[in-house]
Amino acid sequence: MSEQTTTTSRKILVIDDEPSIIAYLTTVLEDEGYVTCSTSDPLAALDVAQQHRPDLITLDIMMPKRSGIAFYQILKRDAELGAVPVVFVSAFARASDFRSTVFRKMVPDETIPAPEAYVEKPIDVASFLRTVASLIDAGDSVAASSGRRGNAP
Amino acid sequence: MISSRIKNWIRTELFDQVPTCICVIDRDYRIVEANRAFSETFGAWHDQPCYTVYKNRTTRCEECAAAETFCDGKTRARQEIGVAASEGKPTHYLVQMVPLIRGDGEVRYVIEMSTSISEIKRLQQEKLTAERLAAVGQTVAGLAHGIKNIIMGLEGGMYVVGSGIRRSDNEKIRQGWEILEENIDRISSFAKEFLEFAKGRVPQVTLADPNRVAQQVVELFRHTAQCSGIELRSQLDKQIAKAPLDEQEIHTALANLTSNAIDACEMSDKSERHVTLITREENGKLIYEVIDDGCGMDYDVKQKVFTNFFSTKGLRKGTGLGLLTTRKIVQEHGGTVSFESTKGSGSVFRLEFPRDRFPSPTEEN
Repeated sequence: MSEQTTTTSRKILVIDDEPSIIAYLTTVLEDEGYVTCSTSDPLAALDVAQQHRPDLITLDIMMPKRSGIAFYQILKRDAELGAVPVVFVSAFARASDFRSTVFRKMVPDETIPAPEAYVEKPIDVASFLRTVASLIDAGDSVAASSGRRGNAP
Repeated sequence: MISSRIKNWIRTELFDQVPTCICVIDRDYRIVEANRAFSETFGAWHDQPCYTVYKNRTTRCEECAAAETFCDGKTRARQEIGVAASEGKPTHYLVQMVPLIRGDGEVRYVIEMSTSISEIKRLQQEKLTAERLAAVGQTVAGLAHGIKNIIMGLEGGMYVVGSGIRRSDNEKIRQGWEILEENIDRISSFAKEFLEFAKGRVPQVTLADPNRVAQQVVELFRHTAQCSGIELRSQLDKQIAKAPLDEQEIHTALANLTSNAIDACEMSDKSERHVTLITREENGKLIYEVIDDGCGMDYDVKQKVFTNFFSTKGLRKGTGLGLLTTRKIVQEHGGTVSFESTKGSGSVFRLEFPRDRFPSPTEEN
């Protein structure tokens, strides 16, 4: 687990079992001004999330020990972290199929909401950053309207 | 009670009304009687031998089912290929031989009843073609999936190097360069393994003791398992008969399964973990099973178990070809691979080899 600090406000947790993908995504996000934290161990991911209170999580699917899908369900059932938006980043399925059909086949429990976004590997950096920014902005609007503030520095 | 009118109809009309081709042949294989369906399908038959009418032959068939029935008086069924005059092309049919036995036990005539199964054969062929195309599609999809992951790594490496240059951050540049090197290594080992898989090898089948190869695999992995605190056991059926196996290939298949089982146990946090290799004989099949009480598989993993390049082991441990190779080896031996798995409880991988589908041994031990 590691944390890199830059000048801007929002914190993003990157979860992927491959350190090279973590290095890539955290560099992309830090260059954009986000604060990042990361872990390659999906079993430690919940602790990392509780400790760092990220504004958004990017999550791989195919990981040993615990798949991203299993972690996602644990996260969404968590009272404090359940509202954190999740962007799946995976080569597991086509982006067009994932949110419409594949996800619900894997998670039949309707109380678990579909993820906010799915980005297919290899990522298009500009589109990935737009997805992240739009979800963080949406989170800000919700926080503002409810009079609550997220993890601002 | 069946009325006498119907009984009479059955006696006089049924022979010509049934959609099955029926003919009666004598001991010289000449057709002495045939029904309407037979005449319509195979054309003129009067006083001609059955092999001429069915197959345009001038001599008796090499493996003649009628001859066997004349000899032993038993009813038998066989699939044949003949030329139906009505279709003018080779047609598959199922023919049943029924003896007409005299009081003294001599088989005087044989009734041949044939039903066309050309449509079933056509559907079987279509299914086989569809399965082959699906396998090609799956392989191409698997290859594309593997390449996508490597592209992600290469793009990532380039991005991190670029970011390091922009920031004048040597550590970033070094990190990006390492990612590039790692993914170049990865694509070359993928290419090698894929070529190896595609090339295959001619199985060297000899009559071998199925337990011997199982025992060798257990010995091979005993130390590895022990180091990870996993008990590796074997339950081998001592009575098991020899079988035509390519021992080297079966060794590879069992080693793949055992290695996977050990990995599955390593991923589990249970205090006691076991891997068991079993051999047994059941309903004319030789069966190998590799059972573990490790982490098991959830839905998404189960869906992709036999997909090329799918691995849950991360970059350094698996290329994802292991189970696919196992399946290929088992299929070359006429067998099938199946598995059952429950997340958190463990998995059973089973190799089943019907003894009547083994390839012929090239030499005997």
